[in-house]
Amino acid sequence: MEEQLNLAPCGYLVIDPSNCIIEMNETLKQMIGAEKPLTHMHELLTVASRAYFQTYFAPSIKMHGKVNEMFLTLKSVSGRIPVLMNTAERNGRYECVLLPMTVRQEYENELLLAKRQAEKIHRETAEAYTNLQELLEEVEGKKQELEKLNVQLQGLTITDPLTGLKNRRYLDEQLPQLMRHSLEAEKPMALLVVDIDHFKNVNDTYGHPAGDSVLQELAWKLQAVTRDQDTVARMGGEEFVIVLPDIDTSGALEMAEKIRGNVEHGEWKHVNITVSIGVAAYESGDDPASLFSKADEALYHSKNAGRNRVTAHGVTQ
Amino acid sequence: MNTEILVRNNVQVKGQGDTTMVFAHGFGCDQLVWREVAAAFEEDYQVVLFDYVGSGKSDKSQYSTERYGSLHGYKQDLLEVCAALDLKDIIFVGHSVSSMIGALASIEQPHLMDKLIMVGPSPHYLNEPGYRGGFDKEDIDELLEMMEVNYKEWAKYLAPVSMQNPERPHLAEELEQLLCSNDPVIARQFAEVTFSSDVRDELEKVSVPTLIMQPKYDAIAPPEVGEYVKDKIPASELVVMDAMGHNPHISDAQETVCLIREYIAKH
Repeated sequence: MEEQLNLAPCGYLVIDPSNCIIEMNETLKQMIGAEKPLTHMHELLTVASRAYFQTYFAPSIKMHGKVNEMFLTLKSVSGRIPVLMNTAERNGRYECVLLPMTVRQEYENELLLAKRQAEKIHRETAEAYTNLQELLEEVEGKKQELEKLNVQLQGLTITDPLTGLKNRRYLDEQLPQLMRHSLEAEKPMALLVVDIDHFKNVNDTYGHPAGDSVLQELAWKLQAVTRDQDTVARMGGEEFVIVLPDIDTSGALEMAEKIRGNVEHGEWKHVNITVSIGVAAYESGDDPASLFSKADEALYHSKNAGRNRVTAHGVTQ
Repeated sequence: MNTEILVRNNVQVKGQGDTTMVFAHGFGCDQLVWREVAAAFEEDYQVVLFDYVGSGKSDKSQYSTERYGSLHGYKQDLLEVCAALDLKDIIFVGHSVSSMIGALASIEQPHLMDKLIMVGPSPHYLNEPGYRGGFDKEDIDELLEMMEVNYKEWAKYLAPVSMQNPERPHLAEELEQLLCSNDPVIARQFAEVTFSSDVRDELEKVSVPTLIMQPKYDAIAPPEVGEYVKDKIPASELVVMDAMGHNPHISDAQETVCLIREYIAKH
């Protein structure tokens, strides 16, 4: 070997295709500090490097005729030496240059560690994100469930469970709005109070189930006669209230009469009943209480005049 | 014929003959390592080559850590490829970890294989009291690290398309990029699965006539391991090759072919 190559500042090695060492330069000998001459590439390498070398060197050199920057670890008397190896095939032999990279490897190891750390963080972030995403979906689901429940609950609080009609709470909430609307739109509005005549007798004679049935049947009849925009509510006991927008006193009387007749002549499952009705038209200056008391007053008149009749407040019978 | 599997595992069928030979690659490489050896059998046999999912030109989107977290996932690949081609009584040639994948497949389907040929097999790589697999834990860690550090370089070897399509170099470049960006994780997992496998207790269940080809100076499967496999598999014989190193099918294709031929002729 010529002196320049022999003493070049890198290891130089020639091996045959079965990886037996043909020659190596002085620099490489010094590097590994072996006492006796090495005969096979394996003797240069650590266990892991040997495995790696065997797995990848042969196929690589066979296919490409060269191998660049293969990272390997050499065994030396003073410990392990990381090297980068470049190999080229020439005349059926493999010529290899080995460059120690002890310092560089420390740096690369740090890089590798940092990379792993970053990958770990990335993985954890992704996992955390997925978890968060799942939690968000869960919260969203719960929220919707809650909203649905709320709507149901809302429905329950404004509904009379026996008849399915709106209840007093609903009417107390809605009536001021309806009145305000009527005032603003300059349209009439009327309120009917409907009360079953002698309802106590029904309960006493036929029992409470029959009484409940009567209340339900009346509820259906009231809804059947009224319009979509009318509000029918059960105030409690045998008293019902109907709010009629866009209707004046005569229209309201007409509606009340229709209801009364329908009840008197309609078909009943258990027992026939009649109702008394008080009618009050909304006038400016009325508040819900005064409107109610006007209707109640009219109802009182109907009852006093013998029941099964309709009275409008302020209209002389 | 299940073409999905054939595409997934990049299955190549060549040659002609009544008997089929299936060649299976080891970890960190692909079917191209069999090029020379397989070609020698094409005249007399139907030759089947494939890539395990995650390797070579397989459909890497089909890779999952669950399935390929043990050798059984790879065994499943082999069985599915054979089923897709409706193969039976095959001569199976497996290199390195594929020897064990083949052994597992033969246990599951005893009629699939007529002969099982193992090149540099090892049922367990770690040293243990009373067993010398050739590696300590630290060695395997160092090896995995070495694969990682060297990754880009051997990705090029994994993309030898550049040699097959010289008129379309951009294709190779693209593939190389793809490999470089996607594969280290799969390659590392395959290596981890390989080096943590322990098939020792399965070997005695192998009922297929088996040839164990043990190269000299095999840094991955030492000679004792070849002996061990021979002692465990009932109908097996061991031949020590002149070839040196873990890749006799690449470095000494001629000898590899001759030994396989001799074994087939004898049995």
